Amino acid sequence: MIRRMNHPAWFFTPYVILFTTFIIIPVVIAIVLSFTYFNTIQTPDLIGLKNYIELLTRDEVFMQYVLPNTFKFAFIVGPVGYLLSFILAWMLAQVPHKSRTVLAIILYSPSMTAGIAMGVIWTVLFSGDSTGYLNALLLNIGIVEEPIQFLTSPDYLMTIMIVVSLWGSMGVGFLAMLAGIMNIDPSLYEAAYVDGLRNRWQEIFYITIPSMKPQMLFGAVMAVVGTFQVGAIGVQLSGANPTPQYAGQLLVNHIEDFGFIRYLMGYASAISVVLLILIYSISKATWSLFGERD
Amino acid sequence: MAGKRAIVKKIVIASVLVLFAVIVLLLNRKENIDYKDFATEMGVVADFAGDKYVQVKKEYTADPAVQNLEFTADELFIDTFSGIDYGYSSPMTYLNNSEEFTITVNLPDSGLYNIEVDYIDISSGILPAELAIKINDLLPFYESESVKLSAIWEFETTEFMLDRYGNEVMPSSKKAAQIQTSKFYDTTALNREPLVYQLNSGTNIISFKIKTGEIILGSIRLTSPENLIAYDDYLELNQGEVKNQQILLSASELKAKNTPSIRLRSESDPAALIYETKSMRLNALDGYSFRSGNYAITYEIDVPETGYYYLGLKYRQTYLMQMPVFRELSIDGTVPFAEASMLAFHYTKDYRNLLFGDEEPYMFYLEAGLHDLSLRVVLEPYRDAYETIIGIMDEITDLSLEIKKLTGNNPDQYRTWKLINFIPDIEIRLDKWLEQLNRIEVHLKTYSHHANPGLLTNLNLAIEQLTKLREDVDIIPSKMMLLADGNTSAAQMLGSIVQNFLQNGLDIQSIYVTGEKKLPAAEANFFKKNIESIKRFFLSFSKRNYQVTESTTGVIDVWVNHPRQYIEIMQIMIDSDFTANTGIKVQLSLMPDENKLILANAAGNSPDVAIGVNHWIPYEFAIRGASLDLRQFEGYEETVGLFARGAMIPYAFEDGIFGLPETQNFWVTFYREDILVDGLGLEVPDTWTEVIEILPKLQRYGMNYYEPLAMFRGFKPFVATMPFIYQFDGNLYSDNGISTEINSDQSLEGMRLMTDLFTVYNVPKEIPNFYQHFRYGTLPIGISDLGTYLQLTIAAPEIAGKWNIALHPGVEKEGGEVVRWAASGAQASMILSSTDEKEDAWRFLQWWMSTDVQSQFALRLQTTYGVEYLWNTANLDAFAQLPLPQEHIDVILNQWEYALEASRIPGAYMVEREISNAWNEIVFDDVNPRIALDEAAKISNREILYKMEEFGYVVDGVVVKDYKVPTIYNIDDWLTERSGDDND
Repeated sequence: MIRRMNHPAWFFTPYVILFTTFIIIPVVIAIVLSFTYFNTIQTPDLIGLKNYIELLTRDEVFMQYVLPNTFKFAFIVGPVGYLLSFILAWMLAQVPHKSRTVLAIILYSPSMTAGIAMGVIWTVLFSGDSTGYLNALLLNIGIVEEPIQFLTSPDYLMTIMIVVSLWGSMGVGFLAMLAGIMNIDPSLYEAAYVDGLRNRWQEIFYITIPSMKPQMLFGAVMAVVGTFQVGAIGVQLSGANPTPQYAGQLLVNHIEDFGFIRYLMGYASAISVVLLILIYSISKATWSLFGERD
Repeated sequence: MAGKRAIVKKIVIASVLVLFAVIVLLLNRKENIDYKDFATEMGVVADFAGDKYVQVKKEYTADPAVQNLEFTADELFIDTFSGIDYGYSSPMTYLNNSEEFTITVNLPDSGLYNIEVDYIDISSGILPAELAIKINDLLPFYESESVKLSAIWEFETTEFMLDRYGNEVMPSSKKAAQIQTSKFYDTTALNREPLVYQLNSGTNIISFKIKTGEIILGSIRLTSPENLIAYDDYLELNQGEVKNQQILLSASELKAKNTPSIRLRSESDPAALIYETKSMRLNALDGYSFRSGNYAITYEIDVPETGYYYLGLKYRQTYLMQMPVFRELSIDGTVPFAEASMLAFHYTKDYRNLLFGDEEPYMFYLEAGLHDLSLRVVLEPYRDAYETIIGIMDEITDLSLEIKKLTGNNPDQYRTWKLINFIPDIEIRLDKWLEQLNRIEVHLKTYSHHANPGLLTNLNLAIEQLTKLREDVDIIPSKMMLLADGNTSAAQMLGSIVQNFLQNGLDIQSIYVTGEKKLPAAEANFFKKNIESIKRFFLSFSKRNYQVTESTTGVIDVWVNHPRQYIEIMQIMIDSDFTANTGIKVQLSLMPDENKLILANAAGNSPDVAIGVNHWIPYEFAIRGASLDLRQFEGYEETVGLFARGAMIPYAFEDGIFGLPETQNFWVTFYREDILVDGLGLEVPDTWTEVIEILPKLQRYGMNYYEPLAMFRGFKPFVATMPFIYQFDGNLYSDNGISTEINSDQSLEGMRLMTDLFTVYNVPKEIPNFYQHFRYGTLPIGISDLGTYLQLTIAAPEIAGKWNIALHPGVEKEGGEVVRWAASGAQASMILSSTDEKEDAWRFLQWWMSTDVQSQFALRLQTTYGVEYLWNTANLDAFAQLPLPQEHIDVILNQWEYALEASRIPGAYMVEREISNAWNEIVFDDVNPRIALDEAAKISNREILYKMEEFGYVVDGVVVKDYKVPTIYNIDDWLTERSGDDND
């Protein structure tokens, strides 16, 4: 009996069950649906690869706006957010324990509250009304003559999306890195200084980063994967899906557009499969950049 | 020689200087004199047509009348009323809207009088009868222009009905068929006492004009003004002792109220007289509904033996932060002594017991038997503060307009103004405001138990800001934000505090008539409270209020997308009327989310009928075969005849109609009479050309026009864009529905105006909250909808009566007709095709949308929950009966003749989106409108074709089946019933 209870299968069953129900099954369903025409009301019809063919050949918005936007957004917010996380984590590691906890909470909180804060703080801050904070400030100083339409004008929307996302990017990756830095054995630094380490830069590059490689990898994967998954932000800021002139249209918005506005679930599933492939390959690439090569 | 010249020069300069100094001194003296004049005038608010009652009363010279005079109806009228016996001994007469009558009084001596009438309100509406009283053809004071005679309202039932979960349902109210006697009061209750009129010796003609309402009038009496005795004298009147009895009354045992708005609510307080863990009991009076001046409630008490008693309440007052609210107590219609005329209820966050009194509770002498206890909201303690602040606000607005006239809209931050040269009395004005505000603050603080009442925070801030501006008046042009612009300005802060003074809510849970000072504990003990809340927590897992259930056969399942309170009333009406007459059972469920309807449909357990869904849902269901064509049913024609034609467009698909409008929105012009008409002397624009004409003047004063495109941030939906296209005779789609016509010449013209307004004429591009700007006066005119209308009527008392609505601006055609197409879509109803009981479902829908039921529902909603609950029914006849000002109803109904909704075709969303994108490109990227629209049309056409292929109208690029597009031009084709045989 005890032998049976100790069987390794017991330890991973909960994981397998949860992972299957919440990840594997939905993914499989999405893949199956991506080969169908499904309007959410009638039963799905199998139509083969048509969705994929249309995605690649006819969907102008996808090619012209969504993909470039998504890559632009992901490759700025991902790496910059990642660097910021590291720098802030390292800086926090230098301050005393109590104030560190407080500061860490302050830095971490935007990533938890982002959704609500976006609606409340950022839309008011960037409001195109002359009473919006930023506009009122600019008008008062005399820099602009009339309010700038930060949230509706396609020229500004993407930049603002990036700024707001960076503000909220101190998430789990940041915490992991902070933990990683804190866990480095201080004797390593002492030893290094004995061996002739000259300044903090060298400390970071020769000791800190190599000692926290797993956390760096985790942070990188989370940062890159995370940025592909966000979509709410452009819609929240501009107040509508699609965003004006698709200026802030990301892959996730495109999926919602087809799934819930045009009622083309099959097509939406096809896009989400593409998103899945994208994320997977990028996280693979991240692995090969930051992962341990055995 | 040279020296002499120099001396002459010196003399000249010196004399010039002296002259200058004298002039300056003279000018200054003049200012001082002005100030004195100003100061004496100061009290009189010159804003109104007549003088205020307070001022007029001070100037009365006559003594209170000694003798009462009575006029019976047969002395005044030829026709007397004898239809119904109300048990009234004197003759009566029936009076209707806009009727007038006069009383002629010959007096030997002048005297002061109250006017008292016996009457019964028999109108079917919910608003009280309104009268104007003049003496010798003159309005004696401003308040006399509008005095009200309220009805006696009581609950339909005192046994509260239970809903299907065992919770008590708020009963609706009805007018009691009972003659009442009332004096005339100030409508605002800022003056507590009945209005006193001075009649001079000789002949006086008192004229009464009924402005609204329908009453049966008995006698009219001129009585000597109320003279309240002091409490000490009151005690002398009757000998007796405090009786050892205690009567506890729950607030739910309300006998009468003078407005339908006052309602009960359920309080989960174990210490309440009526309480149950499992279900909701109506056990308290909702204080918010009992907040406005003159609202009154009456309770009946049965006193066991004659003697003295204490009176008290269990109350909670969270409505005026750390300041008291006031109520007038009367017993059997009379205020027993002066102290009872303004009882203070101090701020408390939890329920608290209170025996009326000062340090010692007052003793009230009550004879054995039944007595009526009434409490009336009186605002007199706040009158001085209210009127002074309103006056200051008006003066601030004037000053800010004067400054803006001087400095222009966007003053240069680096230019220094010597304001005193242009507005010489500016410092005096500020001093006066500060002096008045400080006086008010000191005075108000004496009411409170707190050193710095929270309610007065805004007053303090306003004083601070004004003080700062007073220190250096020359900074005002660059600090208009502190004075009058925006929501942190002194004017706005004063505005918000003024609103609070009129909102004196008071929650009541029980009424005490007692001989003992010891009362039941106001709060349940710690353990009881916690045990109860734990019980409720666990019960919350099983109780499911109006939650969607499995669909059952034999019963029509209806999902309703309205709040719970609406559903309670609907279910009662259905049970007592529809089910009782037809035998068809209907079960309503609360629809939490419209998407659930789609999901339920996919899962195969959709309801039979959905009510209150967004107006585009029926089409989306129709095109996928999930909703039912209503043209097949008997009586279809009569039913659709109840709605505006244009409102039916979104429900048309192929040759069927798949839904009915339930509620309807309206887009009309809102404008501030005080600013636009009186202040700037502009007329309300009727066409777009006139709108453009008034813009320069508005903008010169830093104001602007609001076009609702500014409300939608990124994406401009059809609601905002379509009116422009149709007003210029454009069309969204070609007749066969395979392409769009947004790039036609007509549509292009509409698009030009739509974008020129923002690029050339500088109308604001983004305004998330028009209502606020409208209140501040920065956007004194604009187009908006029902939501704004409700906000302005309910939540903007400081500008009540200063704004109005007019028709949506349009385009003048040849022949002079102004075409004003505007959107109207709101909520809709539909029958789902999976229903088993389609005939019954149709009968239900037909019954629900019928004029009687809709107007009854509108009335019940308001008599149950208050006048704020306006039901904007799509049924035109029922809408016309709503208790709104007649001129507003006329405007709205006129506008609805131009009600329009965007046609729906497969791929319509792409057209909507592309118009929005084109607008963006033109406004932000300066793209030529023609190019932008052509591009938009190209993309839309491709999507339409693609969608048409999806739904089988086009095969491989060839049209195989025509798609008939419903538009305002051809919608009549859909409005006829279909005979049975061509129903496939």
